[in-house]
Amino acid sequence: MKHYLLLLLILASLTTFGQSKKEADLIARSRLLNNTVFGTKDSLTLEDLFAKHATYGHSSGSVQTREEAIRSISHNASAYTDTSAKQYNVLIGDDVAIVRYIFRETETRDGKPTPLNLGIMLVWVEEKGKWKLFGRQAVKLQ
Amino acid sequence: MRGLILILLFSTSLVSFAQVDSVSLKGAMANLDKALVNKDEKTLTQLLNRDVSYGHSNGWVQNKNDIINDLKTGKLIYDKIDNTSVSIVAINKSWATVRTNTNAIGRSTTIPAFELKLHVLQVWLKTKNGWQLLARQSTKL
Repeated sequence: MKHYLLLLLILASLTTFGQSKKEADLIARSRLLNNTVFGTKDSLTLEDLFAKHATYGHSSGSVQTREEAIRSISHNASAYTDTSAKQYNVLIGDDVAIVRYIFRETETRDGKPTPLNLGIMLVWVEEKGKWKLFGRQAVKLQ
Repeated sequence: MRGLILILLFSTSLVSFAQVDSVSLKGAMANLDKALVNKDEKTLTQLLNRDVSYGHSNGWVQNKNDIINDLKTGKLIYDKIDNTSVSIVAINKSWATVRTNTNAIGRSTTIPAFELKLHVLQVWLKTKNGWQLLARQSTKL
């Protein structure tokens, strides 16, 4: 009986550990994506983050393919502040996961700063043990 | 030659498997829209994953309880939901993602009447109880 309880405890903690490991990985990938899209704009990092058949939706409703998104992000002439603390909310459905976060920053283009307030939903899928961005949809916050 | 026929047969069955699945997914999508308009709590309970995250075009996000309760209290009511285009981006044995263009007509406590043209990203999970919506985000077109 005692052994049985111990086994249960171990199993429960393993499951929790597995979930929190997944969650930590997803937050790390989401943070890297955010810092790349709005910061470094490094195309090699984007190549690693994006799944083969990713679709990338903007708050305007326009949707880009993987290639279009990587090209436009890496050539984006705007600069963004990175001042707000971002909270990444993770929802795991086995081999697909959703991460939501709020992006409230300032965009500067041609020397002109404008506020940019977005809600961002990311869809991640596990490919060969790595989380890859499969879908993204942004919305303007009101 | 025999190998080729086998491969052909195998890929045909794969294609029809995906087709059957996309038919059941489109059915679930239509039933969900109908249930939202009809405030059909039983169907909503079936089709919404318990962890569902339902994001609106103003940035507001509802959970499962919110969706059902807000229909009951009249905080958010749908009169009509029409998909003008549906594209299944991916479908496999455990999940699917769909992008739609959707017209939504309804009312809320703050807006007496709204008519929205939306682009929507949806993520569905295939569970033992059938397709369930896990997440949804819309934005205004």
